[in-house]
Amino acid sequence: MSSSKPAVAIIGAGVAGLAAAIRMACAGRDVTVIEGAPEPGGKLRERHQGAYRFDLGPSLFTWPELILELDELTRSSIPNSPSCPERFEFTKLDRSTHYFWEDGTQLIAWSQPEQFASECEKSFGVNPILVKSHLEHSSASFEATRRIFLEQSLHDWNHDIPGQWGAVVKFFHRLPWIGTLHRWNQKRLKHPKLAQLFDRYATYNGSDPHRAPAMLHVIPHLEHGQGTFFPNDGMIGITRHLYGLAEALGVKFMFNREAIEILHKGGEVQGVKVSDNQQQQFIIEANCVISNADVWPTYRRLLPNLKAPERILQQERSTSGVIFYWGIEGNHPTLHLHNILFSQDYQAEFESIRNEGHPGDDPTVYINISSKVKPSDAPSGGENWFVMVNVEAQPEAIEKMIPMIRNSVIQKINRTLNIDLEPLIQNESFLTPSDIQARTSSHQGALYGASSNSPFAAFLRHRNRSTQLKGLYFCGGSVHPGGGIPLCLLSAKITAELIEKHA
Amino acid sequence: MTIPNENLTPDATKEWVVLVDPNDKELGLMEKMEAHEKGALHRAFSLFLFNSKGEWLLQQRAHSKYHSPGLWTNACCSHPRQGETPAQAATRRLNEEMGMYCQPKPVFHFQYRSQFSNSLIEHELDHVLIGYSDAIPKPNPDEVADYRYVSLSDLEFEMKHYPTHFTVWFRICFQEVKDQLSSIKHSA
Repeated sequence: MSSSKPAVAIIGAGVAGLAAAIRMACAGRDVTVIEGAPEPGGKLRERHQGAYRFDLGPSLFTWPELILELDELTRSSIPNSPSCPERFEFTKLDRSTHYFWEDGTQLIAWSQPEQFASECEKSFGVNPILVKSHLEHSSASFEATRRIFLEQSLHDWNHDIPGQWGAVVKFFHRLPWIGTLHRWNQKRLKHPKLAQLFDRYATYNGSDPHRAPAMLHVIPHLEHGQGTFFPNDGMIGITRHLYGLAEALGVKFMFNREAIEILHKGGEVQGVKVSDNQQQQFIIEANCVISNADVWPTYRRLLPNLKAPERILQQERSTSGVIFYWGIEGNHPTLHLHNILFSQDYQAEFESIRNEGHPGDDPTVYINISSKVKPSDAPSGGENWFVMVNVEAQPEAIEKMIPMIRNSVIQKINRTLNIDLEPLIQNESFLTPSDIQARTSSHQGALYGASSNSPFAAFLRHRNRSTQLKGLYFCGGSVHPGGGIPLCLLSAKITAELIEKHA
Repeated sequence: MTIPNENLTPDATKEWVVLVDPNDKELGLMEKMEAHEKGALHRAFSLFLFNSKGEWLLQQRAHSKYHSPGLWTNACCSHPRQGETPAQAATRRLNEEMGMYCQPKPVFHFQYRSQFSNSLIEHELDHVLIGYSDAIPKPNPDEVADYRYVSLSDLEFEMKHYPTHFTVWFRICFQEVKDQLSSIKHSA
């Protein structure tokens, strides 16, 4: 061992892997990141298609402080370093999402709570005070529970966080400990479309609002309490920035290298066996290994001789998605950056996803158009449409359904926007659950690891530190606290804190 | 009620429109709602405003408007008051609706009749005016839901693919305004 502090090997250069690399490098560790793909980012990568550019995966940017924190950490670790990237730049948006229903109802979700509430009154005739109090409750619940559920390990209490229990105890009686998210929204919002709008937040971690716990009502706080943002370089800017910080800190990256086994002896990790694209194998020694790969293949493939936590691995997967990347002719001004075209029967749609694998002939369609805020992502007179529907994480079955799903998506867009879309598609490609699985090792192509379709889901996510092997840690969307960019960044933070604590 | 042309003391608390014949000869005044219920031909104006990039200023009508709510249309349109020229009315209403000023130039007029879904009938002799401004609009939320500038090519795309997003009169006179505009450009 050349350095005084132990070496760290990180498997996977997804958002959480990059953030963990930055944190460990700032703590003075010698860090190597092993990535099977030719570039960093995991699900957060990009694709060029003619003159159109697409961010491939996550498209919503909230909680920017989590990136700024990594910026600050790096700057104080290597002050005045010329290789350190410029500060991360982003823009606050005046609205989160444009919502559309087939009967012509539209709603713009303005960032400003008063404006959003009065828009709800205009579109649905609901009392704006009801909407505001719903948002305030979401924010208050978020604040009461964030330290316990999001910002530390659920299995390895950090007793130094001040006031963590006080906040929960004070708000205990107002937290929905039982019941589903749908029941919670339906009861409080008294309007089916508004309840559907708030139900959709369950899909932010790939869950079904009719089965997921009401505790997920904290999610809207991120959009409506803190606001939504756009990275000035597009979502790919997040990957580039984190990669730039890690490089400036001297983290070593090995791309096109596949981790094939986590080596251990006597209950302690020893390193990672890696294979290059010529199938040559070599070993990276490390007494700390962080897996940013999905926890499922981490146990099944990388740790063949270790007893796997079966109960956790057999949790229902979160949903996957089929995403169409369409270069579209013309400007379509009713649409904005984030658009949702809602199905008429949300419960039937989720039942179809669960039973048939696909959302049926009336899917809820998400259209993300980054060229609305970053015009260089599309040629003039065109828009880059990222069009997604939720599907079951069943790669083989879904692969055969792509033409059918494509057709139902186009029909849905035509009916809702009153347009003939097909002739406007200039070029296209798509991403399926099996592509997602192949590109990112996400088991079955699930986008957020295990689903939260059970009241105990939060406690059945894999912990960030292994109790079986000393020096083995986990970060990323399949482990605690959950999927999506903010929670991935938090998982890296929790992991880094646990490593320091147990060093 | 209709006020004959000779009696020029309309109730100031109501909104009145000027009834005309197809040659724009004034016939009298009628209360605005009544005129739209009866489909009586009356004088109107439509102002098309452009910025120095040649983009068209569009306004989205407030969702509370008595007809064509939420639809996109030209910068401003309304009815001249008694004794007011279309250009004067356009200057006044542009300020009231969009918080802007311009010097409108009359270009042509046309007559149209259209029945709205709420049984109101728009039957107008519409004076079309063109103006220029680079000022930033300050829209009046009672009148205007939103505004934007669009290039001619974007507008033509939208008119083709989303015709129902625009008001009837905008769709009727769009082509003529476009032609007039290019002849103004060529003669300049």
